[in-house]
Amino acid sequence: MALMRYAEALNAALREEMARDPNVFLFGEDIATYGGVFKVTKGLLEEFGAARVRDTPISEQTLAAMAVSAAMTGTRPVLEIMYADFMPLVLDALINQASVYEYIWAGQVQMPFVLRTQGGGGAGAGAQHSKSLDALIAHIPGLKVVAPANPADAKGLLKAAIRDAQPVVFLEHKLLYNMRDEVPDGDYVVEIGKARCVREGGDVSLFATSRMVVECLKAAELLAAEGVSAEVIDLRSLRPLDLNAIKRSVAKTHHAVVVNEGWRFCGYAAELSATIMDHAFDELDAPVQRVAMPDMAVPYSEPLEMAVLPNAQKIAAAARKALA
Amino acid sequence: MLIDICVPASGGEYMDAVVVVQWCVATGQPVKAGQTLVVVETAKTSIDIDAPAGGVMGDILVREGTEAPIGGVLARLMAEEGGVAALSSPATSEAVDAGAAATGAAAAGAAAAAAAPAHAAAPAAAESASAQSAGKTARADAPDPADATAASAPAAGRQAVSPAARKAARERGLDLTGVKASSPTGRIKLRDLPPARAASQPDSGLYLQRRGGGLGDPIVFIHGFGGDTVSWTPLLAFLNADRPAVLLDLPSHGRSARRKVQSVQDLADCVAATLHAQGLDKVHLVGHSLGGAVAMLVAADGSIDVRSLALLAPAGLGRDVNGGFIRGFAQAADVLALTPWLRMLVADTGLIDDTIAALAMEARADPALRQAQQDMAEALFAGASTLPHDLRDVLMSLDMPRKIIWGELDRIIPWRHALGLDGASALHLLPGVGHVPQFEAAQRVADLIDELVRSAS
Repeated sequence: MALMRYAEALNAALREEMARDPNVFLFGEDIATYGGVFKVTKGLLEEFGAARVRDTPISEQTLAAMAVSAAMTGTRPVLEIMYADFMPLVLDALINQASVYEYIWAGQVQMPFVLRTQGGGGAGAGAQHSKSLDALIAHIPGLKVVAPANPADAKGLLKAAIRDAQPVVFLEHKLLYNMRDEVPDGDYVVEIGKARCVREGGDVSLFATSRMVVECLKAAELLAAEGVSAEVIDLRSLRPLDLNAIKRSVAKTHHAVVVNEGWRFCGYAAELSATIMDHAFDELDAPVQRVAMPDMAVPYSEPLEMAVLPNAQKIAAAARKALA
Repeated sequence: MLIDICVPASGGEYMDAVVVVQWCVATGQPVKAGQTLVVVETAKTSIDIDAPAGGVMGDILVREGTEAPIGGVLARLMAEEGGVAALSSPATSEAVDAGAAATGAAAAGAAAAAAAPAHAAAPAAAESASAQSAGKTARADAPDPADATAASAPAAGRQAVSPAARKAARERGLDLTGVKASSPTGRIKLRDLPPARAASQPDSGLYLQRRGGGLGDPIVFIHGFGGDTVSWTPLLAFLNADRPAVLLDLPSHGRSARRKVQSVQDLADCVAATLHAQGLDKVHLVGHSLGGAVAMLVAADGSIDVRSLALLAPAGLGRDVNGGFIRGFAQAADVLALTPWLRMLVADTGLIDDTIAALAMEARADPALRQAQQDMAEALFAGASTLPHDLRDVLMSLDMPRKIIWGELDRIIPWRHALGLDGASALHLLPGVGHVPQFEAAQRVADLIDELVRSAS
């Protein structure tokens, strides 16, 4: 075990995979010389050289198409899109190329690339640099979408994503990069598609990914002070979804709160809610409660931003409503 | 064959009684199957009750303009052979037996005790198998009560139940009628269901209580259908306190686990196994009503050394048992519905006052318990082969001292079932007493048991 920041854990994963497999290379805006705006790729240019760590122009649409082409020809590119807010620029490559080529070419090509990006609010970055577009990405069949909530998963899931034969969108969170926690030593790989029970409880299940897991844990503390035992499930992977973990927890607590930092309408929380209804309806003792971002732009003003983002208080309130 | 014409439970959840509006047939008139016999009225609608079989109209028991409870017997029909039958509500195609419960008041005397339940069911049941095979089962148009609730109570609105609570109720056989929602949403949730008593320990044997001193072999008391250990409270006040007493709850009764049983023999096996596990291998047995049938089988089994056998109004010695009783009692979900059945248990109906009725209902407040007992009644008495009317040979094969104690005014199981035996069992017929002699004549019954036990010690 080593104590690492989330960004350092990602850096370690990239370094280890690049050392392990010469086909792995990185490209993106400001990732080489500058080491990435969040310092995830720091030191890699020096270690692996300019051929495997490449700076690019601001040209997301082209970058995604490059990743697709590079993956088709046998390499394992890791592309960084600096802000998830600009994922719409790469959607065509994801929807019309990456996710369908294996099907169109009857399995003759594979698409082993990773698209790293980061989203989320809370940093005063304004409406164009604070969004969570989980639903937009997770909507696409043929992609895998993961969103680690702690340094250990950041490392283990990124290593798994790089080794995966399918395209993987890797969602990081700007407020998590400085989170420091234990990370297992050695070749630590976390299987994609497996949720993790972060805190056991018997009264209500809180489902989330990424930074919302942290808020769920705080909510569980608030609830514990009221005598309510909340279970927190970190889904880790938005797609594929760990159905068994969801069913198991709902069958145990009979109350579910689904949390996602993205917009509420047609959002990822709505998908989770519908999934629970599909697979665990008879276990529900109350309607599933959704906690999500209101359908509006993320405000730049700090008090306003704090007021609209999902947080522990809102999650606890939703749990109380489910349990009423 | 005599068929009871009963009030069906088809009027929806708020109906607990009907008013007889009009009799369409007079006593002595011939009747065809399906012919309307009587029109009754609920708060919402009027219902025609049709003849379940052809035959001749017998006694009319409830006059026009008079109120009758759900499950209450309105009249009797003498059905022609092969005609056949079936009573009204769902839990009813079967017959038999009665039990009683009584709750002792902790305070002063046993006089404050409360009597409770018991049951008996239809004689028609014995033949109902043939009826069903003939495809002529007339159910008096009584739908499943749950359906009736959903369909016929729009004014009150549909009771919202969470999926998990609905599933749990289904699995545990709970009737959610009357269950109150604690949530501000008005939705019944899991926490509103009665606790699943003993459900977690299904094989732990029967609930058992030890009383009294250490003088001699213990007396084991087995209650009747719908009763429990509390039934014996009034009697225990008169028994010799030096003598050890053991009270037990049959499966799906009192504090024993709910358990599916297929026959009276299953009940006897449970009792014998429990006694054996508790080291009670040499005992005196006292059984009331269904408990009497169980006691006979335990005595005949041989694994327990039964020193003497006292049977109080036992089931198992004949088949014509009060028909409308078992369903009415087992289904009664509130005091109002239960009271008429409690009164039927005793000769002096004044003994059943509001306090006693309330206590008796409290003991049956758990809908899951009531449902389990209805299921048991169905399992035990649904088919002719399992009807406990054939224990006469069993009784006559026994050789321990035994007494049969019966109320002359028993309206559940007639005392005449005790006739025609081999003369080896003493028959004590108590005047002015109904189906629960240990309640109505506690002193007398205690003396008789004491006498029997001493003679066998």
